[in-house]
Amino acid sequence: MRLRLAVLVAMALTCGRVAPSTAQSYYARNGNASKCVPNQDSRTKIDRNTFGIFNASSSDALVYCPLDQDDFSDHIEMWVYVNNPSSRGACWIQNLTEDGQIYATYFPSFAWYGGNGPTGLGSYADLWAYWVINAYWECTIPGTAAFGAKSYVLSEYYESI
Amino acid sequence: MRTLILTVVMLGAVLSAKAYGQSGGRTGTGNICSPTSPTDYDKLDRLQYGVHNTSSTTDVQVACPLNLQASGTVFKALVYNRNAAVPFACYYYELDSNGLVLYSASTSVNGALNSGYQVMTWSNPPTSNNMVITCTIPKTASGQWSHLTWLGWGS
Repeated sequence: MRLRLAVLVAMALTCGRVAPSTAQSYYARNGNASKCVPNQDSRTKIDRNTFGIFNASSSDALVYCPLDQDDFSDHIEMWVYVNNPSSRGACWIQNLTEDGQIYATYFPSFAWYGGNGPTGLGSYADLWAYWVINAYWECTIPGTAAFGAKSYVLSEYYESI
Repeated sequence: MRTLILTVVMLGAVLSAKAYGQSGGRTGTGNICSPTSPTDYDKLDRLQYGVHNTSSTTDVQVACPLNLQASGTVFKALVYNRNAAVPFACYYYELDSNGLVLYSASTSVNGALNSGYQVMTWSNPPTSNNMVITCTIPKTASGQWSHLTWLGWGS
């Protein structure tokens, strides 16, 4: 019995450690949110600058930000900047199958409040959560505040542990 | 014992998959694509099925930058073509740093109302640091949209 267990453990560890040709190591990287694209209703609302993508209209906009990380990220964030104290935005991850069926939807662990400066939306999650082959962030960006300030989606952040 | 074995096997799967973790993706959503003509922005919309053409009169061409790490021998595009009269056609391009075409290959799939997804493949395409595919998304047929849903490398 113990021998069988030992063999199984050895096989599992070998499978994880030896098979890949590219050794896993810690990595962390950012991506600019200017790659985000609006849906049809929001196409006239959004613009981009060096900060990322922002909503130049007075009403909310919806954007899609493709995830270009299809392996494992133990931690993933979307950084946003809400400058509308009377509004709230939201970002969530759609995790899909190749043919576009929703496998799971992940919401960040804390809210996106207005008027508080740049905020990272994200959460540490179990390994399976981000085992994705087809995924994107979906974000609503609040409209321009009464005093003219605009709200942004700034960048995304991946980290492996 | 069975639970223990399952746990061990899952551990192995996690370690194996995690070991493949890299700093770039190999697959991606069709929402990365954008129209090649500025007049077509208002014809496109996006959903969980990627990008689709909402026009009932005009086919729309999109370009999809492949910032996808080449991995495998086959490049794939998964599409839904609901228009029986218009093929869903895509070109794979390998470019040099100046944008000159080093290689291109096309493929297409025919459509039908209410049809499921189809997979286009390019076998052993060359790879470089500058790759793009362009696709013509058919116009709607009986109100049904055609989608470019997913892009990725496989074997």
